[in-house]
Amino acid sequence: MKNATYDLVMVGSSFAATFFLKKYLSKAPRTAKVLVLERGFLFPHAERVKERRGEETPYAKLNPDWHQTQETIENLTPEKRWIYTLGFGGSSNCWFGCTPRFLPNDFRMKTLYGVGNDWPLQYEDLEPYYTETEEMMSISGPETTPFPKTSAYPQPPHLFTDVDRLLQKRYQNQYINQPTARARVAANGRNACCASAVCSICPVNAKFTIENSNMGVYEDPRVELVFGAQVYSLELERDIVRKVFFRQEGKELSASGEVVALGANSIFNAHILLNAGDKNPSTGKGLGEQIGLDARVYLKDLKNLGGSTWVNANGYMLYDGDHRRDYAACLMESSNHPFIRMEKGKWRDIASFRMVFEDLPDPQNYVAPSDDILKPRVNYAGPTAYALKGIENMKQNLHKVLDCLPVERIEFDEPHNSEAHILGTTRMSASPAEGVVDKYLLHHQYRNLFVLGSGAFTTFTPANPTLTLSALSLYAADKSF
Amino acid sequence: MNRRLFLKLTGAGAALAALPGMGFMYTSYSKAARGLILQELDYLALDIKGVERFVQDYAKGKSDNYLLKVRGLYLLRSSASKSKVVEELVKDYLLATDFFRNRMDESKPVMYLGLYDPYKTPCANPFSSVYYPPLAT
Repeated sequence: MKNATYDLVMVGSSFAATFFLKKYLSKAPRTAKVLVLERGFLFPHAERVKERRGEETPYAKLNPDWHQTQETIENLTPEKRWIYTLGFGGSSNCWFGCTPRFLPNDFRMKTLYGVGNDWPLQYEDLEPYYTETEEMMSISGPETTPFPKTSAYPQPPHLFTDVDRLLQKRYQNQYINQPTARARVAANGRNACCASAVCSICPVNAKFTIENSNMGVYEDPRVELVFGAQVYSLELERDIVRKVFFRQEGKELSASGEVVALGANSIFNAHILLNAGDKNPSTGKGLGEQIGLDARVYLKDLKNLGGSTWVNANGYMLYDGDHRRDYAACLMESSNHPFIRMEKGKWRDIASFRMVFEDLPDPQNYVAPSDDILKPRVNYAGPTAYALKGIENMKQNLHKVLDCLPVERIEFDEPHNSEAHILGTTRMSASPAEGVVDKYLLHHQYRNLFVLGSGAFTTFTPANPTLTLSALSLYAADKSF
Repeated sequence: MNRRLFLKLTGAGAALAALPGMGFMYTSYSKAARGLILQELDYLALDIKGVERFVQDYAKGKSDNYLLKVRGLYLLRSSASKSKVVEELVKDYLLATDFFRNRMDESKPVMYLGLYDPYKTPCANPFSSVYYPPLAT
């Protein structure tokens, strides 16, 4: 490290960390000193593609792959996987680029539906930061949306399939071209998406990642980026964070900062706080994620052709409403991977929808310290009855929702093991009795400590979290500096 | 149980019992995979040499267990409607051909092009707007 103390010590180089840094740097003086401690290393996109082609690359062994990340936690229910990527850019290296906003009602679940809690900030507070995030990510999206929007998307929408067009005609702004960070047109150093449908590593570099973001954060001369540094604890003294403890190449090291921000994922952010002795009763509690399953819809004499990306559309027909008092909202994703129907003359007379359900934070699902200071222990009792009832309701009603299509039959797969969205261990709240951080993502007790990312989500919603957690980082940094 | 059902059941039992002893000795993975594809797509004009090249290419990177499974499924006269393994094999074969690029025209000969791999050939999703661009209005 170049300095004894820093104005800001950031843990991680994820979406949450990078968007926070972007806003912080825009407001900080030219003399500001920022240290970024990244646990992993840069694995460039071109090298990742080489690896997928079966070619050798020296970068492949620098970070644990997604199988090996399972060994970085002590998972008490290993049959339930928690999917994430370690390394520079965090999960931007494996996300699929789906960027719907939350709905305004998602922020008021307790007031409107009597479940979960209300967020201490509302949709209107976040709206300008949604717009800013969409600009930075060059999001492609439609003209009309089910959520209020004060500006057009930066990129034109992706193309529907024939099936999507019928659903859009029937449901208008409840069935839209998916807002996505998979570029519709080449821009900002990215190519246009061409529906290769292997988005975790895009073969043509069409999806926004921290590496291809052109945000200038890590090139900023005020920022010192250190690789291979795993932060595991903090020094807490009289409601202030003094130091960050980390291990690098087997050595125990520390760094001092006026302000500290945790930008690791929801499991590791909570673990760092617990290792440091944070006594907030909610820290680590309420771990969860959404649940998704695929519905295969067999069609009579209707071919499903012509989409321009992996997820062409989002359907909101089972999302918001009074049913959320009893069971979970569902967001539909219309898929465009090369699935077929193995029947003569009916090869593509089929549609595939991913049905994604929200869940409620449950204290039985939690992160705790383990005997290994580097490994969080993860306890997961499973999805709540609220989510499971949402699935059952959808199965009963999907044929009605699709009544504008010539449906022959619908088959449902078992739920996926993971949606790769880890949520809710450091939830945002109006008071410390109900959560860990305030609406600016500042810890209720340690007032120079930001805890970023989707761990702060008060409730989960069925919408993909990345756009919202990135907008929250911009909001927090803008309001705090 | 009527006689026809009895014969079917006892026939199936005998076939299962005979699998390790007889069929496995004389049926290679290549023969089995080729047979499953030809059987499933008997109404298409397949390029046989291409099918043989596909099953060889496809075997690379597959486990011994998978190859054994394909042999067993062939001997049991399985099909795509009964087995996910067969369904996947046949689907991957078709994606590796020009069938979908020829807009699923069942009257045209089906030629093997090479394994479907978006990292070696991006933008090859045959159902996407690349192959089905929007009609001009």
